[in-house]
Amino acid sequence: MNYSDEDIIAYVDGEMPAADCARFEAALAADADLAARTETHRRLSNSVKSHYAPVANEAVPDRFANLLASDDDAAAANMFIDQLKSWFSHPLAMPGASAMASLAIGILVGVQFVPVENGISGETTRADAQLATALNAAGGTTSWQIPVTFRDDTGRYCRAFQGAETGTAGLACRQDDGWQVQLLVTGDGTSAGEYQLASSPLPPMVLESVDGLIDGEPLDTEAIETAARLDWME
Amino acid sequence: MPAKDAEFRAELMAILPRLRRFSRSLARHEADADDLLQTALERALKRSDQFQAGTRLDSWMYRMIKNIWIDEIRARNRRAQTFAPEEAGLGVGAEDPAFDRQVRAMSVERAMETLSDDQRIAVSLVLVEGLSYKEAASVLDLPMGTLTSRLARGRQALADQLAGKAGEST
Repeated sequence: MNYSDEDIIAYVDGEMPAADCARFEAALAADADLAARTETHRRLSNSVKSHYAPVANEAVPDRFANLLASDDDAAAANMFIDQLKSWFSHPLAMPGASAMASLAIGILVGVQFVPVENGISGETTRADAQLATALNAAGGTTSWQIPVTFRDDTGRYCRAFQGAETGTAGLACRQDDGWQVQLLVTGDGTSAGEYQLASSPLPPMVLESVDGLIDGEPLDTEAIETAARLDWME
Repeated sequence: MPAKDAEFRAELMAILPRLRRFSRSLARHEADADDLLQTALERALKRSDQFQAGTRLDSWMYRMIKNIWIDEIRARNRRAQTFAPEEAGLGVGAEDPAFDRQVRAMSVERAMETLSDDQRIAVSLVLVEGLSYKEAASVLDLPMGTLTSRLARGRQALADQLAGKAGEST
């Protein structure tokens, strides 16, 4: 049988009816010309697909994250980071004489800020919508990068995040009512610290927390996209 | 209504990376692609009441992006093409330092440029976005036969371009 280009393409695309596939594959084994044409189409499909594939893994630019933040979220945007900056510039917020201040606090991103440790009695405020948006997006956003995503032993999704410019990094896990920040680490706030660069690795404290919580391996891109589509709930 | 609105925005956010990829495969330059996506998102938010719950938001958005691209961005691209430097088509995949990869990336974009708009949209939906023929035909509101023939012609043109047979494909 003579196969047309449309037949070959349907086969390559997985659109050939199952009943015809076996016959096509038999012809493929016997007909070098058909095999070469099929290979050409397969290669072409792969190069177009792989050329554009990285776009879906890029961080979502802030302009889109901001556009899609709900009105409530938008009203709360940036308050969180401003609040953080004020704490870290306050001497009482600096545990010991360490060059790096680190805090273990409970924050429901997008819901409410509830400090639980280190005696910080910051006023209750809405958490940052940009961070919540980044945690929800498979690839993070321009402002907040998400280097590691994994599940803990209770099945929750957890994500390590890092501010592209703020030098703040941390770990958040998804609960029924939103993302809860488990850990926040920041530079000492007096100078451009070790963690100010976007390309710098996650602070050791965050990596240790990841090690302590992770069950299995970090999620790959495909698993992250699926989880994001399902709103990080099962 | 606000809860519904928040849900709609969250759903858009979840599919945003794919919508961005689709826009990039249509518009030649990254900035044009993001402008296209921005316009589509603004229009979607404005017309969210027209979206029927229970139907596929991605299909609705693909259709919207396609329509806006046809109406607006294409005309701009055509004007810009006269002035754009050759290298401007680079961008996607350019983070890979390997030279041959860059050359290949450039070739794919240039080859895509040579397709007719109809062929390019069909190729983008099926090859780039991985839609089934049925889904793509539904997004474009086309009979299956029309979609498959656009796909076949588009791919043949791409194959000819990438094999260095530019000009012989049409």
